[in-house]
Amino acid sequence: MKDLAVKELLYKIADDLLILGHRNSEWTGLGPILEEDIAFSSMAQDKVGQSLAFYSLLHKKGEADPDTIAFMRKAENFHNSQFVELPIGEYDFSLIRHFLFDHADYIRFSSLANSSNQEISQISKKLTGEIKYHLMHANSWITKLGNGSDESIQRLQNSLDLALPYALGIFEKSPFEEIIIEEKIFDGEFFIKQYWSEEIAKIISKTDLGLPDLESLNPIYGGRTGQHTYHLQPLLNEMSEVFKLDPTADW
Amino acid sequence: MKSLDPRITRLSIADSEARYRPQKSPEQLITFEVFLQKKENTPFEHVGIVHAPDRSLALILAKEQFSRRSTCRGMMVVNSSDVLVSPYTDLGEDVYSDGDFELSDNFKSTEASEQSYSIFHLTQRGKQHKLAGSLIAKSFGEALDKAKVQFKEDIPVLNVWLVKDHDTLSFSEDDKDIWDTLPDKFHRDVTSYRAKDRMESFKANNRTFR
Repeated sequence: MKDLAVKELLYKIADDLLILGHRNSEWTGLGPILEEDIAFSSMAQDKVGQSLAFYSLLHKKGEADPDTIAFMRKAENFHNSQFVELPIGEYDFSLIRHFLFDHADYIRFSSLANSSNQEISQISKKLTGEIKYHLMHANSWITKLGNGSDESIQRLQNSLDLALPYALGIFEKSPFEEIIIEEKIFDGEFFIKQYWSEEIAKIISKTDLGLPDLESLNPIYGGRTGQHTYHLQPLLNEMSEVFKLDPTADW
Repeated sequence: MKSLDPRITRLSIADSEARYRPQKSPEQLITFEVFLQKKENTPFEHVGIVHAPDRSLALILAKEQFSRRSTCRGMMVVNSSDVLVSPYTDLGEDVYSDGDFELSDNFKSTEASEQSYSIFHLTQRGKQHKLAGSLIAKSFGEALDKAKVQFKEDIPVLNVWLVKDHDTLSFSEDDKDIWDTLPDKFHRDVTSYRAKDRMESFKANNRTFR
């Protein structure tokens, strides 16, 4: 039971990272300025690399090899939140998603750094520096643009309003939530969400953006149990297209 | 407009729109000089510039711009217009022995308060400026005079940069874990891709490609 609980935790973390990493990589070559294009692409690559670390751990626990897990599953077998599979939209949406998701992941990794599971705590400690930078980047842009022109404030506000119900879906509870917490493998989604709401409020309060009462919003769940939007399968088709040309090829 | 790149096709750009239009006025953000410290206890070295709206974002953007190819444990940025640049010398002459040069107005300070200045030396054309050290002075002029003595090199210094440390921004020591995973990123190094062996074995197994 504990084994299943750990695997489920690892899959959802890794799937979020892979799908978001892929989405953010769709900005490569299309970013607003050169330096930002490079930074955003580099962070997307970090996220895909982080997903590999978790898929490798899953492989050690008996799951398929990382390439198979990443490229051969159908949408209904993915455990990512619906939030990360949404199309990139315009840059304001991608920045807002980057801001909301990365705050959650920073808290998640910091919590997992203290996991009773040695392998998980090791990986999480190692990756904390990477996600810390991602957060610095997100906070800087949200603060800058959130205090910018009418246009930048309006765009960010619209994206924030659209994104929040999806973002709350990140914290959809696992069927194994209690075991995970009891065994001190992970502090649980409720814990992460509490810290997350405080942290995002701190940054938003330094801008001209408004944060609605999160309790008044309806979280969009489903991703963790394989219920996805119509956006995921086309993403997977595109992401796995080259790999599927010859799954046995030596790269 | 259809492209080989599916992202471009998805944007549904009308063919009539798909043509190059030169920008009316070139809009550029201001530039910041970036300095990188490769390893603990080695001097910061200039690596290039970033365009950014302000100093904090300059540091954030510089991090990814300049740490993807070399190891890094520290980074610093300063607005280009805050850097005092000496004249360049010819024929390997030492800029310090050329005598005083005229400082432009923004580097002639009227205040008399003591500040920390950092001095960067270029000792070879085509290479980058390296941090020679820092000192306390009341003006750029005084800092230059002190540097001439304090940071004398055995070889000629071909160009000197000075900045007020107050004008610079670096990552704090608390954040040095952002560099932790750099050594693991082998995929960024071209030498990690050993194509030759695979090409040889492919040729051996496919007579038509010999």
